Amino acid sequence: MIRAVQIGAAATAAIVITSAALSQSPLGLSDQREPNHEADPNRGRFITIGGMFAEQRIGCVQCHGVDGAGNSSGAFPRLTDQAGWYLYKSLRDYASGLRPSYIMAPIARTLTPQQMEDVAAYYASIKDAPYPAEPRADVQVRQIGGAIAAIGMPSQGVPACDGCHGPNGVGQAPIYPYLGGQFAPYLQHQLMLWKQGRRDGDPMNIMELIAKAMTEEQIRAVSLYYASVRPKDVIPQDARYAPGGGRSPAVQPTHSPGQNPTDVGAVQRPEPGRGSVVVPGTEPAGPPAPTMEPPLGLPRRPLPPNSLPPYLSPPVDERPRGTTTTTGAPTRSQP
Amino acid sequence: MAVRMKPVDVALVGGGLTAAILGKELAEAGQTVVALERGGMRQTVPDFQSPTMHDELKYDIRHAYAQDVSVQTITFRNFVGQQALPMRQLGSFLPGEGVGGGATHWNGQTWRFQPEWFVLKSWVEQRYGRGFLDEDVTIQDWGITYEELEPYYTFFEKVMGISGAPGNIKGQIQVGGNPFEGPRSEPYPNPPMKQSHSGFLFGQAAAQLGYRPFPVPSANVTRHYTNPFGAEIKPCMYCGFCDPFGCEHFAKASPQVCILPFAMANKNFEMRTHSYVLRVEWDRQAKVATGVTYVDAQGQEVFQPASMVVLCAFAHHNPILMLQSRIGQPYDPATRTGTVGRNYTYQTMTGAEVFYDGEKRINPFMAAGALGTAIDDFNNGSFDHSGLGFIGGGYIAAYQTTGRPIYHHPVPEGTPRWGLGWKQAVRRHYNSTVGLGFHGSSSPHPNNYLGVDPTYTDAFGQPLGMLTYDFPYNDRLMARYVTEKMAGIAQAMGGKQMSVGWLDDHYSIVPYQTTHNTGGAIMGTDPKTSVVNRYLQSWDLHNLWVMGSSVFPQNAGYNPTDTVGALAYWAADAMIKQYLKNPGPLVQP
Repeated sequence: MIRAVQIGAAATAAIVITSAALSQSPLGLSDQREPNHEADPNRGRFITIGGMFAEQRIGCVQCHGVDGAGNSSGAFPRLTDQAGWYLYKSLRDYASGLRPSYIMAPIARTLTPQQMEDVAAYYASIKDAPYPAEPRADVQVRQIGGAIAAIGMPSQGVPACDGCHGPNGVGQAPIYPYLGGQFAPYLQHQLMLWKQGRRDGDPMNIMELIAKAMTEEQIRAVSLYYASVRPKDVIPQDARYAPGGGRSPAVQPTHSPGQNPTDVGAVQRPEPGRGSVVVPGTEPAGPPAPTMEPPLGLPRRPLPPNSLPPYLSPPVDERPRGTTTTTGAPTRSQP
Repeated sequence: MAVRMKPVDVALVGGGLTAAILGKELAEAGQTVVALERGGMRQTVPDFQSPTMHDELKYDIRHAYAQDVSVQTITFRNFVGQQALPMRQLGSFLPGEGVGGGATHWNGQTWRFQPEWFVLKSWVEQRYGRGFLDEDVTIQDWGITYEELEPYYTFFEKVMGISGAPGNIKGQIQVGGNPFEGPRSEPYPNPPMKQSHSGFLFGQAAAQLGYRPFPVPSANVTRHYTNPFGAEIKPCMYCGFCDPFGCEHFAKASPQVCILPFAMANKNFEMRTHSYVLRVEWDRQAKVATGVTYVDAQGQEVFQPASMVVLCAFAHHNPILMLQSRIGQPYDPATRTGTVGRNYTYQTMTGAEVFYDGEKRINPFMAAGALGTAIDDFNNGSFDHSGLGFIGGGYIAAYQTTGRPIYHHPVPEGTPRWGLGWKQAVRRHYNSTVGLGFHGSSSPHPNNYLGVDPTYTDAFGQPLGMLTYDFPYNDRLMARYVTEKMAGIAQAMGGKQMSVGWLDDHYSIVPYQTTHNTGGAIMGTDPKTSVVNRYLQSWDLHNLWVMGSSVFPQNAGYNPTDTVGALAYWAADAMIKQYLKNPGPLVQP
């Protein structure tokens, strides 16, 4: 009994003193990595649908879809087939605050590193989500975007995107995410966050420097370009790729699962269904908290005091801003 | 009859690093400058763009950015008396071709020489006595000291945005840097690279043995950097495609990124590509160079008159061009007289591999050309040679330069060379092997020299240059001594297996070793034993200058680029401040 109290006190002290609250899982799942653990996509799938016992009230699937197809709101990127390590690092960065999001930050903080790996492994393992339909964009805009992607803009000091993100933006696992087939509003939003100095987590500040050297028009053009290419060969007859994404005019999308039918085209801000995103700890507090990260341009606000569950301390990012990060969150003390 | 061009003030033979440096400085000093480059134009955009840039077969195996040996090559033999044969494929070294030259496809390892290297002969005599070395070790003083060159080192490092940890600032030894380097006036302009896991393992073992590891100074720039001219260099992404590729990220300091844009913007400067220089024309009476003759892209012979000629070609091309132009007295190994072609040196390299057999994850593909951890405890000025019978030394480093699929497949000794056994071994060892390298100095020997081949000619009908080289006894002793130390570190790294490559054979021109060819048109204090004076000005023709590593009297245990760049700025300074005001020999013999 005394022993248990001691352990409990030690655990509380750990929460207070360090920001290693990550080691305390609010979920029923194990909060420690098992020896020789491996990321388990099956476990990850349980978490994405809200936890093994539905204890996690927000499932990833509510916004990103079971297949990780995302949508074109600008807030919910396509996760399917993204490199697992990249997805894991994104969750760490949301948890640590390197990537700003009022939606993802509290969610990521409820996950242990092991659970982050599992979720990342799950979405990385899905291969067959449909692609979004090509955005409606001027051919000239796309050409400009394609030129920026292929050769950059040396006069502005912008290197070619494809140099790291691969030809046609196929991505280079593990650290460079794919861009081809990603939603234009999401890409545009992320570049704008970098341009405004609100996002970090990029190695050596490279993306921040690039985004700051680009005009908003150029950011829009390159985002539309990448949304209109596909990272792999898409066979129009292939049913997996056809819905919503087939390029052949013969294959008209009739149904696009996981997508809002109005998702086609330029920046849109669909109203989220009320209550579709519930941040833990905020339900009783009067009117629902703002549930959408504003897509573009709005000033950064501090997190409302009740947006964090009481068992989590506020995020502390101890690293100096502007340095390279390889792991998003403060390291947890290993057992 | 050759076409005659409009005269210019300065003709630069070559369009690489030293030509870019001189072109920019001389054009800004008001001179009209033409750089004659045998290859084509190369710019970051569009030439180095991915995905085509990451074509290992084209650039590494087929040497797309190196000299075309079907046009011109050299012949090679180990000893005087052997029949020299043409090098029909590139192997041991890769002279660059095209604008930017070798500094386009280099790795970016940017080392200063220790102060002792510049006064090697007097240093050895003073420290170890006159009879310490055999007379066949024809080391010489450079005619310049480290202290004189230091400001030019510093400036060149700023131009290139070199990233590193300083070890000695104005005599104060710095923690984390190379404690054996010469005193530097300022730290590196950029912080060192992030160290790889292989470098960590090496550094750990070396520190346990009492050595002092530090990150290799690198031209793979580590942060967003603006050089003194205003050129923007971007951070390196550790993609592992440095040598022999161009950098698509604007991250590897090269003439195209750091210097050339400012030369090209100057109306006084012209980069004339596809111009293959055949010879320097000179006036036998007045003892001055009058210009250069080259073959242009249409195949016609062109004469470019110039009041000053600077040889900025690759190391062994410069002395060979002088020999073909009949400038100076060719070196004769039989009588050991003459200067042009004398003291050709190279680099003495050995290696070791530590196989962890799956226990470590090295991730060799997360790499950069100058990503490495090194110790300098066995360079020339760092340890006592008493009783060892040799002079020289070098650094030992664990580089993580690439994990490319054709290039990188370390396997232990005894592995089958092909087939299932080999494939299984590659799979097993690819990600858990650390390679160490010893980068040793090269001392001159009377039998190692550059001459003109009596038999073979190039595509223009000129005789080929002839290289006679084998590792001298001094360097073999030196390599054995330091390789033993390297094997000790490899042992301490705690792998499952290790293999050590000893220097136990003649020099071969077939396998790639390094592109650090030096000497042949060496600098010095005496016209009888050197080709150029301390300002890199020819003793014979006062308006002919020689750049590059061909002026090194002997090669140090370091990569030569930093010294090449510093010497180019040193010479440019002398040209602008002294020579142009009063053309004539800057040093009286």
